[in-house]
Amino acid sequence: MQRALSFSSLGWQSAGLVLLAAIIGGVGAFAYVGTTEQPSTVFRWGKAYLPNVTVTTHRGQTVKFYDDLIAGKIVVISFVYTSCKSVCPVVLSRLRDVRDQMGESAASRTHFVSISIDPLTDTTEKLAQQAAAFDVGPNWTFITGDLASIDLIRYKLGERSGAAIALHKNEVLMFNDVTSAWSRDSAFSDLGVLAMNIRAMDPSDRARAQRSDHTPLDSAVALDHPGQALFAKTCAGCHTIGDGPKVGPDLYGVTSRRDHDWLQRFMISPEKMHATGDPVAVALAKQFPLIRMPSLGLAAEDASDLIIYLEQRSVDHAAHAAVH
Amino acid sequence: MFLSRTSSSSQHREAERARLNRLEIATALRNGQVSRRDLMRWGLMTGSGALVIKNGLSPWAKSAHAQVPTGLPPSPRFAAIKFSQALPRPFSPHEQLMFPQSGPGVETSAAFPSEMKQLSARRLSYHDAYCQDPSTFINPATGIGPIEGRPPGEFFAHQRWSEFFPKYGYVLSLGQVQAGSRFAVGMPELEANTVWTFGQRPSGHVAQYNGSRTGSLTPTLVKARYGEPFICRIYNDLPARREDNNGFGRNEASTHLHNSHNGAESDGACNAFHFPGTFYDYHWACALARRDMPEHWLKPTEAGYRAKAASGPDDGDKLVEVAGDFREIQGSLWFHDHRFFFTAENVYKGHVALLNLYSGPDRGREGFADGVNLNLPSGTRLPFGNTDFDVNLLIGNYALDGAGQHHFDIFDTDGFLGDIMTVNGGYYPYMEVLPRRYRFRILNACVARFVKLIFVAIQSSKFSKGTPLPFYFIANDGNFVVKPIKLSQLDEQSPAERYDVVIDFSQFSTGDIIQLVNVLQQRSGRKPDGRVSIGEALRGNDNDPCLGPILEFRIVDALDSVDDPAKRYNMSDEADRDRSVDFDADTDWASGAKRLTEQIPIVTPDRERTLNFVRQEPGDARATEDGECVPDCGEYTEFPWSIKVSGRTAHALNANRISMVVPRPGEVEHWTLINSSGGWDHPIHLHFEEGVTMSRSSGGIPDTERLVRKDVWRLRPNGSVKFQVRFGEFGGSYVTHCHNTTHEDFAMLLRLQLKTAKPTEPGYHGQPQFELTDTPVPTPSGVRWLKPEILAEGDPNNPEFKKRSR
Repeated sequence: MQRALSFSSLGWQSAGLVLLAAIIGGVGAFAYVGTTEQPSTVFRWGKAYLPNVTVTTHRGQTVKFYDDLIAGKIVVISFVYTSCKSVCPVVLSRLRDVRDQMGESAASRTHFVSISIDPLTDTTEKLAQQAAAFDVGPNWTFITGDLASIDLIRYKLGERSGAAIALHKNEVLMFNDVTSAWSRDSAFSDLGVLAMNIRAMDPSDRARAQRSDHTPLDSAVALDHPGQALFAKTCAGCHTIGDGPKVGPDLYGVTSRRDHDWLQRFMISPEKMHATGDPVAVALAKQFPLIRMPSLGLAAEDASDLIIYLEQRSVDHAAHAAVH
Repeated sequence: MFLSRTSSSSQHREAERARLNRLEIATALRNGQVSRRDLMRWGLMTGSGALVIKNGLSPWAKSAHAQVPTGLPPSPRFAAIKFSQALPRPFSPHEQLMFPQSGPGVETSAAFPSEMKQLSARRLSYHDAYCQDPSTFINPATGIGPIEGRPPGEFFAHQRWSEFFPKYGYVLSLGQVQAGSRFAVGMPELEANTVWTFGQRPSGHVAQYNGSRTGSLTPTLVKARYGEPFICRIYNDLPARREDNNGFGRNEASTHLHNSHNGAESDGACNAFHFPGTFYDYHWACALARRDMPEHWLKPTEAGYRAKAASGPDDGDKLVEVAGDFREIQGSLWFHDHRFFFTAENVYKGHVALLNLYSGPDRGREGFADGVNLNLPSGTRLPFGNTDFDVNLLIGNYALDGAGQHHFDIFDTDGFLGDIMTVNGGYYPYMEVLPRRYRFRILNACVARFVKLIFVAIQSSKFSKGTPLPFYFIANDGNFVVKPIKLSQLDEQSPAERYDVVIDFSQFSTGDIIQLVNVLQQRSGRKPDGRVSIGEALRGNDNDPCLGPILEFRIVDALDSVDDPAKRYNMSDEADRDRSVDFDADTDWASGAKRLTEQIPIVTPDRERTLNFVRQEPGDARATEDGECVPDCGEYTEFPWSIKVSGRTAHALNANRISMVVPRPGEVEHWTLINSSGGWDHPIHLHFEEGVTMSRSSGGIPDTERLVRKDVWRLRPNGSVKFQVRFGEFGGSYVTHCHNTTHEDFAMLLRLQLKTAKPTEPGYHGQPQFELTDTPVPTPSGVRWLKPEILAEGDPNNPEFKKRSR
């Protein structure tokens, strides 16, 4: 009532509209929750569009692409191939982090499908290895299949790079088969925002989220150091600093364990160092056999930024540990 | 996919049947009505279970008698006949006078007339009031979240509010297409959620959960003026469920006024999209650039130019003078959706409108001499903004499904092409014209189709059929060229480019026919193939159904006015003679004594930047040290499209990433845009400011671009373009991007942060944008925020800027 009075100074029409809004708003909110989402419109890009071809999962099962992986589900689709030594592992590690950020309940209702676009190379075993490396859990399926089937799926989903698989799409597609709504995002978006957008594929989750707080989102990327942003974007999916090994080793204290020059070279060209038999690179590959450190295409100054950041964080972490 | 116009109707039927067959087979297989064995026996399925690539069965099979640009069978034409429907003339919404409203302890707001039952327009968003008390100002359609989509806080408050206090307001609705709308006469009625577009919002209208059918298929035209700041209140009247979209389009809106000089909060491209049921108040200040830098204005005495050129028309015969440089005057603008990731489908779906910005020199009124008015063809019935002879032509490109509803392939990443051309939303319309001079403001509003247009004589006693007619080119992207340029064909025109021309029909007589002909063939969203001859375009070829005439002009001797319903023009009547400027007859134009504007000189810049638009870049970041690859080295994964700033980095789209910081207003920058992706062309758009085009790397620079101000540049395959730009007056987060909206949706977009003066510096106007803007993350319940990340190579204050700029 107090609020309504203060608005009256703006004229009767404003106050009237606010009251009206409140009344209609109440009805709308009720209807929204009560409605089972059954859009009346044509499902243009759902069952009739998606190919129901036979594919093989990383668990060795033979399944139908639409019936078994899509029908009735909310899916997050990515395109990968196991010989991809640069962006794919980063995309997968980021998606895994996104899934962790989504919260247990939303994550359990979301299915991740990673489609191999190199089905001739990617056997069930290779995909299983990939899945294990990223510890993807039960709601995540890697698929391969015969070339024609995979090609059909790829094409229909807009992954139209053809034989040039290195040019493949790095976007993340999201689909809710119940509502037939598609969405898309970049795997390099802020992780919190990406998690929010995936959750929003579920209309009931949208309605729930709408009642939530107005606190600012914490950015995954802070600004204090250029290396920090780079770390968050390209490294944090696989490495922690002081929280134990993830996909790759814990980088706590790595700047004192390893020579700076070696770190610099390894960050820039890990594949090359492995191939030329660098003993540390080879040992690391043995220690983390599932996924090898990818080539991220870092420039010399990027590697320097990262090394400074790792050094700083290791010091911070040690100081923090000493206090507690 | 389409069939040529020479193919038989049976071929058309066959293609449509094939499409249905494919669906039927897939469904039958799924339902177990046929077996894989059956299909293999029929030769329709491979051993591995895929439907074979066979004409009509596979979405990417090359047809024996068709190419494949749309991903669908040819659009059905039903009973539609070309050139049987009059050109729709844009509809102008009501301009409402606003008045200041203040009270004790309340900041002055701008009130709409009370009968409109609108909340007054405030400097701060209603989102602020909602945050203070979440039981007020609630979205009436959903009952959830604030009623205004503009983010809360000072960074999204209208900049320089009291200085540009709104005099007028528009209340527009972005809604479902009105009942009874058809793509063309003779075609089925459009479903409510096929087209989402602008219309006038009725007084007292209340937002509906399922959307409102307020959208007008006829384009909306806002007539704006310098010296008349206004509020454009845009209601999102789309259905609240995002699934109710007929297969494409997102019900979240962000409207960019392309390319006006406004604060970032009103630029519509800073990730501040808004939801169904909410409105967004855009404060379109109609500010003239360089307002804050009188030292850079060209003094009228220096130029020997008309005094008072920096001005706008009032409602009578006078001018409202404004601060700023008259060389920065803009004219033909448009506004359209800018929702990241969904721009292409939303613009295609109808989130597009026109805005003509009138000024003292470009008043839209002929035969009116005040020493400033250029007297361009327009009309005489209104004090400004006549459109009888000043005609906006909005060119669109669509595909229809079998039911006659708009189709869009949401999975197309090259750039979506349609197989039907429209002008002002009309299917191959005709327009009756008088034998006199006309001005046309031609906007390419297609997603990915480039056009090249020629006015061609079709039926005339003076010109043989196929003769290209001369005309004058007067403005590029809404910016005057200094001297009118005589041409007989337009340059290629990419999506978002605007060309203003003046053509004289006086050599024609009643019954003569002229057509506007597209001679540019395009079969892929990546780039056009090249031009064909006028003869081939008129005959049509089997490659591209969008070649040929898109609009027909018919010469008549009498015509009803669109500006004044009571008026009928009659060419035999002396009072109705053409009073517009005649560039041919007045030799002062040829000599250069008379000019449309004055040249902005190229000066030594404060800094240079290079933007490289690339197709193939290793990884999310950064070239390798030596590019060397040993046998064990894996293939690099590439991003489809990205932008490298000053030689360094390619990144996928992330609205939270600031790629460039412009540290203070007024500094001159030279930018070089490079297209390294040989097989593609990219029209690159810079928001907020125009650049003076300096040079191109190859293929020459046409007169229509040389030293001409633009806001969209076609880079050409493997081409580059350099321009000069100076920012000022407003600040915040803007973008520059590829205007092939499909490319934009993927990664060809980067964020530009313009800083305003600090409180301690001269030129401070109370704006908080001397600090970086946080990135809004809109949710239905309100906006959340992210701290942006800045690339070192984009920030001149970072010591790495120089080191990394190479």
